[in-house]
Amino acid sequence: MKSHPSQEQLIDYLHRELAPDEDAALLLHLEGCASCNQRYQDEASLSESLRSFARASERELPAGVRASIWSVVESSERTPTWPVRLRNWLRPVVAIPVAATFVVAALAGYESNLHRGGPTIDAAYYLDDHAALTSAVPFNEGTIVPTALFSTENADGTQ
Amino acid sequence: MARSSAASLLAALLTGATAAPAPPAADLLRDAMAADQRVSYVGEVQVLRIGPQRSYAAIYRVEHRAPDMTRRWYLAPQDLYGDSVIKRGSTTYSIDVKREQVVVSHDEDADQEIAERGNFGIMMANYNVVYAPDENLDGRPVHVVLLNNKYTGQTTMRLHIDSATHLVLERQQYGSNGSPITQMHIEQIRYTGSIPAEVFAIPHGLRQVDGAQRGAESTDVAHVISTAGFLALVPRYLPEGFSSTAGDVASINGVPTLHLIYSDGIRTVSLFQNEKDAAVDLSHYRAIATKVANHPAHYVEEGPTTLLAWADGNRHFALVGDLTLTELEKIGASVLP
Repeated sequence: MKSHPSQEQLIDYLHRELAPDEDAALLLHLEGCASCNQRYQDEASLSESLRSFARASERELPAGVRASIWSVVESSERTPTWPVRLRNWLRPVVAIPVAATFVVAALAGYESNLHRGGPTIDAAYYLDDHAALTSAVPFNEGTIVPTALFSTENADGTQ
Repeated sequence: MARSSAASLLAALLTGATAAPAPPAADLLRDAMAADQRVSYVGEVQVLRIGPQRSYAAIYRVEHRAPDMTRRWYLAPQDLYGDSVIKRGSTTYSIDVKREQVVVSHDEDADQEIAERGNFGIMMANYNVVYAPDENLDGRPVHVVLLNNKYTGQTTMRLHIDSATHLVLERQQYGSNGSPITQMHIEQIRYTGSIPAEVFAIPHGLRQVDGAQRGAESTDVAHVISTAGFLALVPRYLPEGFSSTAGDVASINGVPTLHLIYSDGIRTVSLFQNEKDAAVDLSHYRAIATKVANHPAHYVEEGPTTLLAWADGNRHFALVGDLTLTELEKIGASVLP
């Protein structure tokens, strides 16, 4: 991360709402930037203060009310409606890792089919070899210009 | 009398003024195939290869001394101006004056003549050879020969053959939809037996580097497959008239690669395969995604030539040919187990 994070990014980082790569980049930035680290500490202490205040001001509800609320919560957790499930899936904290997983899987699939990190053979070799070895076909011109002349590279691989 | 006949033949060769009677079309064709081996000439060649998206053109001066010495001196495209290619027997020297280097490559073509004879037989099996009306090309009388595909009826090749020397002076090849895909034309041709050997000398002072190493091509395809070092797969489908004609095994970047050639006598398809997980590097080309059966694949077009690449596990394939993408995909699907 080259620029300083915004306040919204710091808050998202604090609540672990950033995508993994953003999260990692921001962590690295905080480790090297004293001013942003101070902003983060301020934000963290503010959150903690608010949480403490909420706990301190918490009031006990009557037992019957609490029981009925939990009953509704538990039933909705057991069978969430499909809009709720869809909304849950679309939450950034879920959707981004899922999307990232799909992207990684797609790339892995492509790699497994065409590029798995092994040796490669330049397509120019195949095109040249086809042209050269079909010269026995009657009236076949073969390659009109050898790749050795068209290539931007020297034959020894240098530019 | 003999001297007079020789003089008139020489005069005919040099001026092209007299039209020779046409031999049977197939005989003329066979003679035209071998014309380079007995006729020496200089001229200017224009070659055009037309693809669906891009086309390529080149113009070069040619000096050919029969039977097997040729120099091409490029005039166009502009980037190649002054570069040349000298072929002496089975060795080709690509002379790059800008980089001050000569790329030397050797073609293992020991059975080239056998291959040519075989291909001529395949061509005769798949094409009807017919005459079109004689014409004049740059002042020289020429026989015009059409090769019509026996299965589709389409004209696949049109040749303008010098009626005196039987050298092909102009050639057009057509794609499966009838549009031209290749055109070659020799202009300012002059037949001569006095091209000095120095013309084919390699210039001094240039760095010599080895070109790509190729395998020894053989028409014994079964033997080639047996030397691949892995269980080779072959297509169960080929377009009508195509059959296996040759092959080779080469080590490319240390990867044993089998190359099988299929031809109908004019059109050719190459199938490359390896089982060392060596993918085709398409990074220098504009690759387009497609599928071979259900396998992700990519293809690139170089003029009328298409390269289709795909993989099945560790086995990587590439099909190269002047066929349509649909035809290549169909062949590719039939290669898969």
